[in-house]
Amino acid sequence: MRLFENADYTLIPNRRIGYIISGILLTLSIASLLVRGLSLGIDFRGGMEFVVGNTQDVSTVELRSALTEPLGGQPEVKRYGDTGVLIRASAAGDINEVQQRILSTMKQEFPEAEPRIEKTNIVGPRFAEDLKQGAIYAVFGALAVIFLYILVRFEWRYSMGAVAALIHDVTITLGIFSLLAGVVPFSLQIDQSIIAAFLTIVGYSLNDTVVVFDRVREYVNLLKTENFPDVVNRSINATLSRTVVTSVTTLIVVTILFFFGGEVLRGFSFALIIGVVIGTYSSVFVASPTIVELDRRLDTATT
Amino acid sequence: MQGNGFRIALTVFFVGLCGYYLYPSVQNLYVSYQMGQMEEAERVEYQENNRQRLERIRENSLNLGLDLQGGMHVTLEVQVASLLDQLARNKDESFNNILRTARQQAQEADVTVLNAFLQEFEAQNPDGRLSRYFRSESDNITRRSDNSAVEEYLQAQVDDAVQRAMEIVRNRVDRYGVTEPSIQAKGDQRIAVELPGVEDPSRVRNLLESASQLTFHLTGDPQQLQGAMQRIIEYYEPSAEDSAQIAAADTAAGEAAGEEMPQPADTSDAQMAEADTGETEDGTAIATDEQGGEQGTSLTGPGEDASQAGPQNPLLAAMQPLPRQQAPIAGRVFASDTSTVRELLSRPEVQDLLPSGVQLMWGANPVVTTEDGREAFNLFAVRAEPEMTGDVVTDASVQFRQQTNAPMVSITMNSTGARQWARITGANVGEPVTIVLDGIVYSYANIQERIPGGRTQIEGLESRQEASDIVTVLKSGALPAPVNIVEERTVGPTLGEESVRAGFISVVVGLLLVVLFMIMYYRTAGVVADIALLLNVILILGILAGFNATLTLPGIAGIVLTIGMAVDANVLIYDRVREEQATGKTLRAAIDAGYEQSLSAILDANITTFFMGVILYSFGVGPVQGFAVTLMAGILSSLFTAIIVTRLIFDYMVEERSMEVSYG
Repeated sequence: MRLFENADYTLIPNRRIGYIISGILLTLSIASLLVRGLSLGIDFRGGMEFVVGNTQDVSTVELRSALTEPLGGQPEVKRYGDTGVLIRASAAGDINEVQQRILSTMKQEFPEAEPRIEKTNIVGPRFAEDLKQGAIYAVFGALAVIFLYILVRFEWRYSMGAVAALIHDVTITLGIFSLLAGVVPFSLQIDQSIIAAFLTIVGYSLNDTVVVFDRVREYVNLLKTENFPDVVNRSINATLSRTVVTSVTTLIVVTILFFFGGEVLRGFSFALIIGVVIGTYSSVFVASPTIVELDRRLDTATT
Repeated sequence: MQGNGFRIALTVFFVGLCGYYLYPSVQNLYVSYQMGQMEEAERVEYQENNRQRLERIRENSLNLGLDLQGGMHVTLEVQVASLLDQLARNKDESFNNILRTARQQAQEADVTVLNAFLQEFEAQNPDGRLSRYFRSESDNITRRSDNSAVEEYLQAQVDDAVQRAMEIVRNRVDRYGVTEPSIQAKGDQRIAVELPGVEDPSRVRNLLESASQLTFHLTGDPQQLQGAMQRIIEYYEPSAEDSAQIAAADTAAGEAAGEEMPQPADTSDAQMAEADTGETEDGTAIATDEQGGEQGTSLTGPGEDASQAGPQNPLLAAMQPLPRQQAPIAGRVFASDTSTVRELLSRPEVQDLLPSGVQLMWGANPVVTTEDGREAFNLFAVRAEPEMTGDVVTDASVQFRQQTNAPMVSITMNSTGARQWARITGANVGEPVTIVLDGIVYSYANIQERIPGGRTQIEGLESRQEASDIVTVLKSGALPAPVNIVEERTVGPTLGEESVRAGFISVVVGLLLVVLFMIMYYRTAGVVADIALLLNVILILGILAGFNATLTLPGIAGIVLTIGMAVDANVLIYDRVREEQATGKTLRAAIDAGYEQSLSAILDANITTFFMGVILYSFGVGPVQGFAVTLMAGILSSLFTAIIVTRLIFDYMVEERSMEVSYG
């Protein structure tokens, strides 16, 4: 089977279409990030999270109101998997006491259920602050390392192109997280595993971009007579088959993770699905056009 | 095949190495499958006979993370502020202010409490001497010591406190008995504790956080206490002026109103003392308080009167005073109301009404349990200054009272402790004494006679388990400074099993689909890539086992992701081979060119992703690190299989077998 063999799409000449699509997506994302914001998970906000199993018959609405008084404030109560509920409370108070209050309230209000604590996640405020700092370092460290590596292996234009694509990908993925939070039936809160997913997206998007750039570098030396945009267009077409095949296999596995990986990995694999799609798109429609644009600017500047 | 000797050797070496490292894991799977098939008795016998072998297998097999096998991960933080408070002498208002500011700063910014304290001290007293507050003869810190010497001494004390806290935590964990716990220092003042397979997290929390400060207190005068309680109740008596102030507390406490509060009919001091007189087997002579009237008749709570009128007394709504008591018990409170009462009684104006030098402390275990399972606790009034502290304890053990078989903790003291104990008991015959652990009253009883020999016991315990936990914390020693849980992640065994199943299904289904896709797309070459892919999974697991890494759920996600991305290198090569073939090259030449030309792209792409793994590993914690490790392992193994192993296979097929390999 062969897909995109001898592909000859006029991608670079039509890059404006890509700009428009990216422009719309970026605007929407940034607008949503500004208006709706991101909901931070317990890792970065601090708090207590209990997953109480064996509660399939308990109504989350009733449970929320029943717990409001004992916990001194309305907790977040959500379904978790098939048989559990997730209860999020602020970090104040003794852990044992909070846990005891949740259990005794449930026993009182829902005598037929036999609640069992399946999972706890407790993060103190200072600890959350440290985790947040670590995440920020990780993300910026990653961007810096990539920029430097591409700078060493290629040249500065490619570096700019790669980093532009990465920022594009992460911004849109974040934007989609912000837009869909609360709309989809699973948690899209930003926690450590989502940061891990973002860095993986960064890695993946880069992987795609580097393959195209590698071919550009090769063709630039090979086809000295052709002008740069045509070389880039040709490189994209030459690698298109590989780009699509790798995206397909990666999409297959992350989709499987999304459906079979369980509740814990739901947000993580959702981020990866979006990231793979956007990352593939951006290596063709963002990273490559960027080096073409930079090259053109350079030419007009020097001549 | 010339020149392939090195490749063959390398492949055999790596596969052999992985086989070696994975062998115990496979054995482990096999053995647990076998044991699953056996009868209970047979299994026990098998375990007996093969104990050492089983242990070795388990130790060497691939570690599962806590999120997969179930367990508890706790990060403890040593409270340096409390340590400074303990170390300081001549504390004044200024010291307390500086410490409070330092505590707050450390909460908000990335600065240690000690540094914040030193800076704040410097800011407030530019010429001040730290030796005003901190002195230590043994460390040669005197009034004349300059600030840098004191700073050094304090830093050493902090480091030492963390070190000692770690040893004590390790000791407690060992006594608690978990298989393969892990205790590690993390940063300057944090300790990470991993406890696989913990069933009861709340028990572990108590065990870890317990400061293990054992103290012996005399109690306040009951007469004085009665008066004070009367005044405190009056303070909360709703009146026109302050009904607004009470309203808030009232709603919180309102729930308790109108309920019946069980109360001992008429438990007098004398009766309590009689309850269990006589010498116990330990030769001690303290009468145990039966903790007041389980058989007592139930009286109607005050809520009844209160509910008739509009505003209620919030304190009376939540707490049942024991007016006719001759004992130093301020009142009795249902478990659900303890936080309300704590809040009401902690107000400074209320604290001022208490007799001086007297502190209210909760009883450890419920005194009464109502029919519907609600538990009530005593609130004791004890003298704040302890008569003696638990550092004299040399040994502790769980014992049972002869007649009732109730569990208790028997304590042995050293000679200093014995002397003190004899003096205290001798001087206070007839008076009640309390044994307090971490600010909670465990034993409360009247002294019958002077107790020589330095032995006593803690009673009023709920279960054997509680007794043995107390023994654990007493024997492991007191923590140099309190520790707090700043992070906790617990996963129950059921959820862990579900995660293992989910991960396994994802790996298998992912592998299957990608394998099919590759065959469909690349035909023969796809089969070769699939062989490489399977080898990849084995190699990743081998690398994990070899480096003694832990497999977590995100780690499994990393493997699944690698399955999708590992074919990338092959895809790059194959597409290149197709291109070369299209230019009219022979198969042989096309393969050579394909591998050669795609190498730089493969390396660039993988090295950058590998960097991501490194960054994730350095900044992430726990499960995220697991993901980073498998990601890195996956990149290494996919590079190896794509560049070396598949090449080897193609060379064999094309050169030795002269096969016509289809690239689809």
